[in-house]
Amino acid sequence: METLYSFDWASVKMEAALVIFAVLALLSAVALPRRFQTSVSALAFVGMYLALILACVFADRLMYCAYGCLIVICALLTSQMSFSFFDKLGRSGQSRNEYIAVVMMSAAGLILFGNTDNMMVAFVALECATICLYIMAAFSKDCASSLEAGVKYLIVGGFSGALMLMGIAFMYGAGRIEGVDFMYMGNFSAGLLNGFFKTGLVLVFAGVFFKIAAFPFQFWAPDVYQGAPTPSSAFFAVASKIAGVVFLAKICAYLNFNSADLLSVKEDVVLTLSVIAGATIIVGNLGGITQMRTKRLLAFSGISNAGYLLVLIAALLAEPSSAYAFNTVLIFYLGAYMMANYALFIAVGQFPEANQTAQTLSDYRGSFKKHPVVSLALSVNLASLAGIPPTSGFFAKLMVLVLAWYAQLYWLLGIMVAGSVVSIYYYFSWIRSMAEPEDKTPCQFAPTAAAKQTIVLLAICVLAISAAVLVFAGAQ
Amino acid sequence: MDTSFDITLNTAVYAPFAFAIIIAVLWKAIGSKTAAAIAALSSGVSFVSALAACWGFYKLGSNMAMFAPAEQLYMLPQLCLSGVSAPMLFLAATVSLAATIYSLSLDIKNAKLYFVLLLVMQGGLCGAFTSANVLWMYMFHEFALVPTFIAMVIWGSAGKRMAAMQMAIYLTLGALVSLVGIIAVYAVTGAAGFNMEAISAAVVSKPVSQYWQYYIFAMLMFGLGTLVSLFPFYTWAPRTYACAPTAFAMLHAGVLKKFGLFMLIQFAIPVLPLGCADWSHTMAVLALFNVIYIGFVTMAQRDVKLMVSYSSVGHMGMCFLGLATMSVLGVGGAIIMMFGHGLSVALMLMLSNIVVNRTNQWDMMKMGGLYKRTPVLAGFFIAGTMATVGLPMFANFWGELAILTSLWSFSPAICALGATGLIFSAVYGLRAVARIFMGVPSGELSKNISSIADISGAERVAASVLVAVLILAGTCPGLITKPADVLLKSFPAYNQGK
Repeated sequence: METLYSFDWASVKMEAALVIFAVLALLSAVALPRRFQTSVSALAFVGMYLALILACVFADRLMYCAYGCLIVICALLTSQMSFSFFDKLGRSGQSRNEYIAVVMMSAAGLILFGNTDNMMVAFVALECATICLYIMAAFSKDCASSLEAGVKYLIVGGFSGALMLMGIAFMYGAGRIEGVDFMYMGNFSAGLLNGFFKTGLVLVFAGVFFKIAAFPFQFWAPDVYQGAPTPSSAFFAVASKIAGVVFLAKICAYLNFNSADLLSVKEDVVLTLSVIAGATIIVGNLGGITQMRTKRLLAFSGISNAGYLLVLIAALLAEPSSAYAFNTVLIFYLGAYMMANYALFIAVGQFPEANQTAQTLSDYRGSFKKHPVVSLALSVNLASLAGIPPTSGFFAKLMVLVLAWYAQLYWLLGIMVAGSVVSIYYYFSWIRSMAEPEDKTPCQFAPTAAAKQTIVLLAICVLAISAAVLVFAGAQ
Repeated sequence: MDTSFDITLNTAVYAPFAFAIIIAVLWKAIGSKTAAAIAALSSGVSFVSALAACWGFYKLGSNMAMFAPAEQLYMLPQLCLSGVSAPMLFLAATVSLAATIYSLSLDIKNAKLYFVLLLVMQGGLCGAFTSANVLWMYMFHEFALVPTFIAMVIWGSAGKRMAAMQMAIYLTLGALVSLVGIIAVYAVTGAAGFNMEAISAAVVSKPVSQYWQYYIFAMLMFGLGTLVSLFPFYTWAPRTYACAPTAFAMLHAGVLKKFGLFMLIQFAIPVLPLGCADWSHTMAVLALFNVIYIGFVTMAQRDVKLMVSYSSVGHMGMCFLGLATMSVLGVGGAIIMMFGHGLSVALMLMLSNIVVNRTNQWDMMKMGGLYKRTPVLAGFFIAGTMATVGLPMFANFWGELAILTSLWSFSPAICALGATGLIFSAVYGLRAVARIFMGVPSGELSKNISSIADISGAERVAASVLVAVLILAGTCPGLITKPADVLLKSFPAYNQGK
């Protein structure tokens, strides 16, 4: 019988810290008067920093800790963004603290989702996180587009949850027939010849594809990102995508195609994943070309990045011998993606109105003249997303290209290169808008001091991490 | 190598970056005049150090190793010089100096940003040719590319929006395709890293099969070819040079464009000789399109800046013809041609921009008779034209001579067709001189001809620097050919041809 004392708390240290402090913050936000609300926010931040410290000090499983840290940093940045967001809405510190608590709960759910080996726990964790995300999407109660985004996300999220649950049910049934516990991912390889199990696996994958906005389940992303409050959009674009990809990578790492009769299954799986990855890259990049709205553009950029990440997963399945490098590349890619995306979302939030639903690229005209340093930092982040050296985004793509070459996915590699070239158009359009002189209306872009520092810091990280890679690679 | 070589080479590459950071740090404290002075100082330091480093390398004489590495500076990427990279480094430093001096004469809005971008671009150029690591060469190249894009959008002339985007997309496409080629070499040979030496060693121990050489060389040829405006991927070049602010256009057309050729000479052909042999005739035919087709297009231009831009596309065809021969003579000729053309096209872009600014006309048909008002400008313009045409005393002459000589053994027909390039450049070059400077002023120009001033002090210095180096290389070509010969002869790939 497991008790509270015998339970291995170290395995869920980050989730526990986040949940405990989120509950504390929520309770004190309700109980304490207005003048203490800043301290309540501080309490919530203490919880997030504690989770980071715990992960760094007791780094027992590197992948879990690195992944958890990424999600917690997303939560930190989103919480930081929420300050100016709620100021612009004119809402009290209490609403903000509720929001931060929801973000922390959601982060805890996402970390557990990527942490667990058990499908049932994964499902419960995902639902816990997703319900928080619905709330985050609809948090501007007075804004129609935010409510619309919330409803859209609710329907899509409910559908993907149902698909996933159905898949898990299929797996459970297959497990009862074969006498294997298919709720545990470690046994997945045993079910690869079972039709029910494979159907279940496909459904689970489809559910996760919804979460990471991969083709053909990508259509919701632009609408939801555009309508939702900007801090929430950033969290959807980064944290929930990171979680989904890490979950997929985890399942794929457990799949073992070594026996001879599984070779054809392996080929099918790799081909299916590659086709989905290629289609996601194409759809994301072609969709991005026509976008003038910044938040929609970031959504399409996110779709294409989901495609590149799927290339990485397909490469892992096709060439298991490169698995030793896989986790490093995955975390590196996700980290680079996170930094660049958050810098851009923070910039999107630095306009006078609260919901930036109608913000276009031309709103940035004149910002190079008005805020040269921030604009330069944003250009670095855009270049990182576009994969221009020497940013970390370039190294992330380079590593994916190398692994895809080793996996002999040549045509996919071609699509990836073509997609990257197409993406230059919309990322550089943003830089071009910043460099152009402002037309009739003066430039509204007015970053706060905190936002400026964060954006510049992220740009420096984007460059410094690649410098670290070079030093590390140079030492080898 | 001795320590002075280490210091000068590292200074040549990293000084522009350091000074760019200084301007950025002192942003609020300094004015645009100070920023300009810092930029001029930086270019001067970089030029002198590059000169010293190249001289140190040249002094080695026959003891020259293939690659002369410099001591690594802290954790910055390691640099090295070779027979190809030494002239290219000197070219980069010279054109940078001229471009910075020329910028001093301009009245620029937001000048601090301008000089930061210019310095970053200069550092990128010097680094691209001297890095010991293929990946870093690639990255330094992008260091130079992104500032061009931003500068074009901010300070460019009409049509810059699309031209900047077109340049960014074409060059990224070329760079990415060649990056896949580089990755392929790395993966197929199982090299220990992206170091030039590691890759060379891996190629010796595990040669690439003919099958892979064919495909990988195709990727590198078309990828790098796009960067050098090889036919049919040249359309970005003329618009870019016509729209970009002149200093950036000088650096781009004069130096950055040579990067593709440099990578082909030092990396692609030595590593993949069989692939190059398979593709050499295709390359030669495409290069003939550059020479002949673009030659006709250039003759039809009435916009003086576009004419110079198209002529640079045409001359790249000559360099590719030299590469196609895969011989020490032809490739060595291509190296001198790259050097000479880099200087002459930078000179011509600068002078044509001066002409356009003075006359407020872009159409050569509406000019004329400037000789009397601007004798010094006309003198420089004629010198630049002579260099472009390839008259003796200028570096380009030796390049064209060597390329055509080696082409004869490659294929007499291609040699004969390639030689028409000289006729084309004589026709459009001399016609431009005649239309701009000779005769009588036509149309509106005749009304305000008296207000046109001759070339100013800073412009004169910039032009003199370029012409002086052109003549130096034209009279002492051994300064370039001797180190180049040592390097090229050490590659088996270049010893098959005659």
